[in-house]
Amino acid sequence: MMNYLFAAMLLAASFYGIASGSEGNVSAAILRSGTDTAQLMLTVAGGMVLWSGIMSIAEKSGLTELLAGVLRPVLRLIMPGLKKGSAAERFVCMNITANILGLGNAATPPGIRAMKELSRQREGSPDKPSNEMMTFAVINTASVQLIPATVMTLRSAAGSSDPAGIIFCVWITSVCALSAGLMVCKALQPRSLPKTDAGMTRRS
Amino acid sequence: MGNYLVIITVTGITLFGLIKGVNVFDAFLEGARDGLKTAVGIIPSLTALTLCVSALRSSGAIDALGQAATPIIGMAGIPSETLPLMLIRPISGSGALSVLKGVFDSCGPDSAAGRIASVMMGSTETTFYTMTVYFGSVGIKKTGCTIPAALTADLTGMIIAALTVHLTM
Repeated sequence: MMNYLFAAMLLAASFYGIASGSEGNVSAAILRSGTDTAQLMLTVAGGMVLWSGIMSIAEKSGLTELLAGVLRPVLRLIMPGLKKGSAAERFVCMNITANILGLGNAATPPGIRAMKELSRQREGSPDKPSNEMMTFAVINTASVQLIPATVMTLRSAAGSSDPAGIIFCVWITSVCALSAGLMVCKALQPRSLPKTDAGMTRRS
Repeated sequence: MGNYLVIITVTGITLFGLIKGVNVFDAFLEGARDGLKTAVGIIPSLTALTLCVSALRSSGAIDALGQAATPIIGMAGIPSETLPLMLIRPISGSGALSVLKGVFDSCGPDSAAGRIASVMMGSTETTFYTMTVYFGSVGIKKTGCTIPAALTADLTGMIIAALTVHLTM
């Protein structure tokens, strides 16, 4: 996908630039883009290093597990097919808490293991994902973050008088976005299974 | 308010670590090292996408696109300057960063467009990339309802971002 997108964006820029007589601007922008990246990179990298450091303290001190404990009941509502105390549940929890704390890197390995566990438990056609897998993927494609670190870093570097002023808007927006995603996911899922307390989907 | 949150998060986490007997300085360094690795890892894609985004912006194509879409997205209170961000956000995180920087440079981070772009960036994810990683890890090509659901989430995020910023500004 990025393959075509990369080429398409460059082609579009060149054609449009030449056609509209702004080839000088385009050429200047191309030459400048490497240095621009270096500057952007320094800003973003600085923020990443700082917040990864802080969040690593949260991880080591067990704050992550504390948060996971709070999340577990909510998770059970969203993913009713998740078996209590299963490895899948543990990995899903680890993944979501890491995401909330903004530990993107720490989130991916348990996320992939959760997906593999869920995949192992699923029944039916081998090329179709289970409802839990779809829900889990939707949770991961929506970002719910306590501290939108990269955005705040960029805002402060751009000279904002209130870089952290967007936090509450980000929270409200993320929760709304995630809820909308989950609702569509639930609505489109093939026959939602009856809610029972026992571990579900025991069909041969 | 946001300022308190930043302070509370940083000192709260450090204090909690101290109470739990964690060597907070070592923990910080270890995490920071990982953060540095991530940062270095995105340099190539950030360079590629900044090239595309700056070329597109300087050609005038992005502005033209934004103006063309204004009648539609304007109804939701979404500024045309944030349109490129909405388009690239689900596809490329690096591209989105580059676009966000562009919005800050041209409109300022504290303008309505700058704030809305910030909220959009902070509350959505690189949907397609994430899906590729997760479904790819279990070798599943069919993703069922995931794409419509994830894109609904993104679109909702974009609209609510504009709404919340307008309400709080």
